[in-house]
Amino acid sequence: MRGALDAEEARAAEVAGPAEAEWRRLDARIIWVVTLWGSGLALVTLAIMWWRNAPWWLIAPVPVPLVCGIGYEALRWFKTRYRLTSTHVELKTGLLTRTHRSIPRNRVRSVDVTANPLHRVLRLALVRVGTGHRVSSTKAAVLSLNALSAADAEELRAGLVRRAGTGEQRAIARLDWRWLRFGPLSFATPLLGLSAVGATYETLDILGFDPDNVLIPDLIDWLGEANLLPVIVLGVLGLLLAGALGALGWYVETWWDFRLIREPHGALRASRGLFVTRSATLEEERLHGVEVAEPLMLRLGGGAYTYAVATGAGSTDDEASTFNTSALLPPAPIEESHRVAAAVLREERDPTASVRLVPHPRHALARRVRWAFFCGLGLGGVLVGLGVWLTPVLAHIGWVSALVVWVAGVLFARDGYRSLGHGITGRYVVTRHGSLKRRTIALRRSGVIGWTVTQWAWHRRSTLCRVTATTPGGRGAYHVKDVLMGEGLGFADEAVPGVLTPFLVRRGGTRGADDQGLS
Amino acid sequence: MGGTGSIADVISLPHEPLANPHAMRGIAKHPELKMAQSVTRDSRAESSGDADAELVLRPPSHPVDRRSVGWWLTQALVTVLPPVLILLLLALLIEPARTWLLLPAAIIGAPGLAYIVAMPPWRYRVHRWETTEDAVFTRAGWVRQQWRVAPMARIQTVDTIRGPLQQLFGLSTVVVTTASAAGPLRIDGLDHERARDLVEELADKAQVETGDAA
Repeated sequence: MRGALDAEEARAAEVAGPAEAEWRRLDARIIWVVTLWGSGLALVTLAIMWWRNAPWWLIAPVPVPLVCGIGYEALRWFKTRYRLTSTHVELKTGLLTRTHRSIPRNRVRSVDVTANPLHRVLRLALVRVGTGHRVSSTKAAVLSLNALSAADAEELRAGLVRRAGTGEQRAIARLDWRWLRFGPLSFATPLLGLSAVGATYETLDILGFDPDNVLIPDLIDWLGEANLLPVIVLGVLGLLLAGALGALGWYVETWWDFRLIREPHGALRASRGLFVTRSATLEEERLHGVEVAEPLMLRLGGGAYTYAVATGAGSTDDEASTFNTSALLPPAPIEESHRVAAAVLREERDPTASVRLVPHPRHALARRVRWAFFCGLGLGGVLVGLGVWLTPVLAHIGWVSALVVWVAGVLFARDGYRSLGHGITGRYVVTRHGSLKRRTIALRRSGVIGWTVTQWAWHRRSTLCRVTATTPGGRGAYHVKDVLMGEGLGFADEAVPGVLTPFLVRRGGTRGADDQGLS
Repeated sequence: MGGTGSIADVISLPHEPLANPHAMRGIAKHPELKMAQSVTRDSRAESSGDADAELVLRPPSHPVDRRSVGWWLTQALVTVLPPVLILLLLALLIEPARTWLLLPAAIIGAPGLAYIVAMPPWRYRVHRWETTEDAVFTRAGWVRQQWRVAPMARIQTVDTIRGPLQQLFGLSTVVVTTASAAGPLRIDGLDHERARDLVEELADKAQVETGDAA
C-alpha cells in the first residue's frame, strides 16, 4: 500500500522537474579538516622524533600518510554528491565501489548533527540521517554526510524533520550546573584515575625519560624509606581525586549547554557539547516510552539517567557510545528525571514514578542468592584446589575471596530482588530490574509488538520465568524478570489485550506437567 | 475456554496447506491426541474451580518434522566429536602426554555425550509452532525454553533458511522478523514443502506490512 504511495510521490517528483532535485557536493572545506588534523599529527610526530634524535630515514616518510590522506579526502569529496528531492534524500559516494543510496523522506526517523572542534572552527557539521531500521547492520540504516556547512546542515535537518505543526518551540529541560556533582558518581572515576597514571607513564616513555629504569627504581627506593600507611591512603585519595577531576571534565564536555527542546511539529531535539557539539532530533511518533536508569553510585547520590525508548535509538551500542542519541537528560536528580520523562511523553506524571509496582516472588531472591553462592563456591573451590596442590597462600586467598563473593553477592541479591517489579499505569507498562544499573522502563502499551516467555527447565516446578515485551524501539526487548508464569502472563495479557489470549489456558493446582518436554 | 480453543484450532486446520504427505500424517494423528488432552484439561480445570486456576501458555498445536531429531543429532555430533577425536588421536600418538590429553578429552566428552543423547529428543518434544489468523506462536529450546508470539500485523518479513545439514535432511527453517531489534521468530526443522507453504501463507496473511509500530 505504502509502496504504491511511494511510486505516486516519485512520479510527482519527476513532474516537479529538476529544480529541487539538484545534486549537490559536500562542503569542500572538509578537505581542510583532514589537512589541519593530519598536519597537526605530523607536526607532533616530527617534534617527538626531533626531541628523540631520530635518524633522517625515520623522519622522512612522516608526510607520506598525510599526503595520501589529503588526496583520499579530496577524491572522496569530488566523488560524493547528495540531493534532497520532495520524496527522497539521496547520496552517491565511493571511490572504487560506487554506492547510490536513497531513503524515502517519510522513512526518516532521526537526524543527528555533530561537529568536532575542527569542524566548528571551519563552520562545518556532520549530518547523519537514520531510518530507524536496524534489520541488517546499523551502518546500512544510516546515511552519513561528512560534512556540510553548518548552515546547510541546519537547513537539511529542518527540511527533513519539518512536518505540519502549529505548536511553538518550547524548552523542556536545560542543564543545571548544580548537577555537576553527579559527574564523578560513577565506577569510571577510579578507572579514570588509573588511566591518568598510565597516560603519564606513556608520555614519559615517548619523550624518552625511560621511566622503567630511572623513575620507578627511585620511587621504590623512596617508598622503602617512607611510612607505608599514609602513602597508600594518600595514593588512593590522589587517584580518586584525579579520577573525579577527569569525570567532571568529561561531564562538562559531554553535557555543556544541554537543551531539550520540543519543536513546533512535536519532535524532540536534544543538543549539547562543549568541544564536540551534538544534536539529535527524535520524531515524536517513534517514541515508545522512557527509561530511567540508575547506576549504583548515581542511585546512592539520588541521581539518574533519562533515556527515550525510540525507534532507531538507544540500542546497547548507543548506550556505550559518547553520543547516545536517546539521552533526554544528563545525570540529574531523580525528580528532574521524572519531570522530564512526563513532559516528553506528554503525561501529567511520569509513568515510571506514578506506577504501583508489583513485587516479585521470593523464588527470585532465592535464585539470586543461589547464584551468589555458586559463584563464591566456584571461585573459592578453584583457588583452594590450586592452593592445596601448589602453595597454601592460594588456599587462603581462595577462602577469603569466597567469603567476599558471598557477602557481596547476598547484598546484591537482596538489592536486585528489591528492584524487581512490574505494573500497568494508564497507557504504559512499567518494569524495573537491576542492581548495578537499575532500570525502570515505561513502554507505551500500543508500542508492544509481541511477547516472549523464557523459562529454564529447572524452573518448571516453581513456574519462575521471564516475560519479555518486544518493541520497535530502543533495545527491542524489555524484560519482566523472574516472575511466576501465571502472574506474568496475566500481566502481559492485561497490558496488551488479545495478543496472548488465544494461547492461554487456565490450569488448576500447582502441578505443572503435560507434554512440555522432560521435567 | 482454552481447551475448546485448541479444539477449534484443530478443526480449523484445513485452511492450512495439506499438500505434503508428512504434514498430512502429522495432522491426521493430531486431532485425537489434541482432543484427549483438552478433555482432561477441561475436567481438571472444572474440578479445581476457576478461582485458583493459574494461567499457562498452552503448547502450540504442530510439532516440527520428525527428521529434526536426526538433524539435531548430527549437529551435536559435529560439535562434540571433532575436538574429542583429535585429543584421543593425539593421546594415541604422543605417549608422554597421554594423561594430559585424555583428561581434557574426558572433560569435553562427558557433558558432550550427555548433550548428544539428551538434546535431540528433548528439543523435539519442546519445539512446536502454530499460526492463527492473527498471530504466529512458537515454542523452542530445550534446557532453556522460549515461547514467542508475534501478531500477524507486526510481521515485516518471512524467509526460509536451509543450512547444509538441514538440506541433507530435507528440512528448512522459517524466519519471521518484526520491527523489534530483539531478533526474529524461528521455526526450525520444517519439511521443505511445508516451510514453503507456510511462508506463502504468512506472507499472504501479514500483507505487505512495512514500517514500525505506532
